[in-house]
Amino acid sequence: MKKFFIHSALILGITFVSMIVLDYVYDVIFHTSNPRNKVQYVTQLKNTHVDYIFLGSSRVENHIDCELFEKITGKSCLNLGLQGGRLKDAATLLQMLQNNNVTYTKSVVQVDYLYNFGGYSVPFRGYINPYIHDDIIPEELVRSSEFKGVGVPFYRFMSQDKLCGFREIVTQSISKKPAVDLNNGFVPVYGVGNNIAGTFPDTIKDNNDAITLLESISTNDIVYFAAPYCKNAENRDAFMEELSRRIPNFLNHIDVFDEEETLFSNCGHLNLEGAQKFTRIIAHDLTN
Amino acid sequence: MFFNSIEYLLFLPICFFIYWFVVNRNLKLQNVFVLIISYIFYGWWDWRFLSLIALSTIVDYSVGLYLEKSSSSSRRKALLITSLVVNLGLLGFFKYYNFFVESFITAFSGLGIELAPSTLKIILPVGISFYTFQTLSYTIDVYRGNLKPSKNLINFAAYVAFFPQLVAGPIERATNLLPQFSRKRTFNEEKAISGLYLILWGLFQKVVIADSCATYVNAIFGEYEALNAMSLFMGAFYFAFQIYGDFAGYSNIAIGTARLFGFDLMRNFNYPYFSRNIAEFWRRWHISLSTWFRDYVYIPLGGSRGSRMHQLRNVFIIFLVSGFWHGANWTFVVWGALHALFFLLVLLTNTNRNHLDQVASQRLLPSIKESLQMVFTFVLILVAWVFFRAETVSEAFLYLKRLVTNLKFSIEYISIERYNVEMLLIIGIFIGIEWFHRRYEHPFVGRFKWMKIITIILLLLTLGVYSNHQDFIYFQF
Repeated sequence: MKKFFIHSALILGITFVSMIVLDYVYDVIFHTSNPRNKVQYVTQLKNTHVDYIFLGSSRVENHIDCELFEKITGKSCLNLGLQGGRLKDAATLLQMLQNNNVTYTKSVVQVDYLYNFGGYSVPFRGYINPYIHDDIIPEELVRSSEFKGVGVPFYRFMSQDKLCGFREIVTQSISKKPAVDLNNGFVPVYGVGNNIAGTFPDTIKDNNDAITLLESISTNDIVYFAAPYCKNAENRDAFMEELSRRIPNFLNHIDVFDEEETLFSNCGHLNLEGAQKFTRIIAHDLTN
Repeated sequence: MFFNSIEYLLFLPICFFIYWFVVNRNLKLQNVFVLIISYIFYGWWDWRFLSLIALSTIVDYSVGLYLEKSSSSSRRKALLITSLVVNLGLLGFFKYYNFFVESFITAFSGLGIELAPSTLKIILPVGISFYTFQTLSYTIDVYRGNLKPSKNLINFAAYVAFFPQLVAGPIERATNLLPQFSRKRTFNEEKAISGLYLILWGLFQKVVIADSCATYVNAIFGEYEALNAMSLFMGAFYFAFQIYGDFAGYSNIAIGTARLFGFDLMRNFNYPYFSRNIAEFWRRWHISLSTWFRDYVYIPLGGSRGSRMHQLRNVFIIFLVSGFWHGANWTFVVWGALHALFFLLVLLTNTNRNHLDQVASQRLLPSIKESLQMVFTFVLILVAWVFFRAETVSEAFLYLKRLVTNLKFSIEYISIERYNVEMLLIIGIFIGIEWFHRRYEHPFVGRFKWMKIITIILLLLTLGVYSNHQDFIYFQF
């Protein structure tokens, strides 16, 4: 059996050593290359001030045109909306910014049916994994059960191979430009009325721990808002009424474009024209 | 429990240690242990379906014993029929009940008669197509007098439920596997090491090749109506490697695992995409199933004896049944029919017994003729794979129609935020590795063995798909 055990030990040993080496190599590449996503951008943004930071899901990413916002208000703006993003992601990003000595005048958080979702989103987990051992990452995230196994070398990259695997390493290494202009963070969508339909949950949670977290970490005012949603969405108004009761400083713009369906690309997302119109509205709300 | 899971990573070494260090002195105890871990392995998925394996085991064990005691041919026939009815009945109910009901309803609605649907919510027990065929091979061989019935229920039950090959083959013959439970198994280092290598290679085939291709295949087949011909061709191409990597990978892990425990399972894949005609393909693809159909359906039907029409009929039956075995969908039947058609061409030209050796066996590279033969055969297989993968027959036809009419062969960015040709390099490397090691069952041979092992481990770690777990395709059969 000796030869067999030696072979097995060698294979396991090679695997383990490879994981350690690959973990180091991937880590270095992610930390030293130009940012290709908003989470990576946040890790590299240090010692600066931003007037308005927008946080949330694709309903921030597709709706807040920071270039236009800055033109209207004369104030700096950062759009950190993430596709599929959740409130916990938003809270974590805010903490990371603070840990990086980034100050801000106001954080503006988009809330809607996401209020019912806890935990971190899948995309966020993929983007944050390369930085999980960094000092700027909040303790709460590292201890979270959603990130178990990250102590095992290279496991964090394997478990999120879609977003921080080999393909991403290659694109990071060749400094391929990201799909999003990270300085603006706005991603316009186009088209009118694709699949106009949607549903809001029948019931609403009593509280969301991400909101509690946001309140506790925020050194400045947080403003919560709801971006427009098409009027055909089932249970929309009832849900939003309940939500308004649970959140302070809530700008509810869910129905602001009810009579302007041509501004919607689909039920939950405005097209470019709609996004720019909405940016003007929110800019006015925040600065007056 | 999946072979590429953390649970299996813990399950296997624990079972290995107990098998060789705790229960090894007593063959009976060893077989009991194999039976227990096999039931644990299968029950991990759904313990309720252990009852089906147990039922199949008890029925066929009893049938075997009674067959030996019976001299009356009518009684022996009745016993065989009992086994067939129970096993095929179970298979038929769990796999095909809803299919037949829905097809019935569709057929009648085509005549303008609306029937109320009465389908059931039936869960398909994993591996039922495999273990029922395995137990049937036992009763048929006993009936034919090719095998003495087992008088040891534990051995027989362990043979039926043997965990490495229980859920997706190879479909073992009782004449090969059952006697291994009666023989003392001593640890063979070379066998165990080759088992390790097969597991490593099988993991690579599954986690790197099959699961990577799956991402592209799902995207391309999901939106084929909007994609160009190049993407559609790549979709079929990637599926060919998805199903090969998936199934051959599983078989290699199964065979490798069995070797760790001192068992020899039959080879199930022998580089099928290097086949020079369809007949050779079927000698190299899912060998355990094709030989099962040959021995238990084709030959009893008359095989190649009798008239040419007779032979052609038998070939058609085999491929249609084989297609149907794969699943309760007309797409599989059409897939089988296409292969029957391709096979007929080879049969009619009397070239079905050509190419019994490995292609370019004495040469490094194939000749131009061999290359063209392989490409042509591969294209035929690709066409058939489109039906295998599509949800419906009409979808398959539309897919192929678009493939030949769109005529745009440009690199396209598809919905998974990848270019349609991105996997080509990895597939190319994979084909190269298989080509240059086609004389062996895995590539970890020769002077640079350890370099190859290190490379494959690195590729497993960096290119393996772990975030988006894909079931083994053949689990659905």
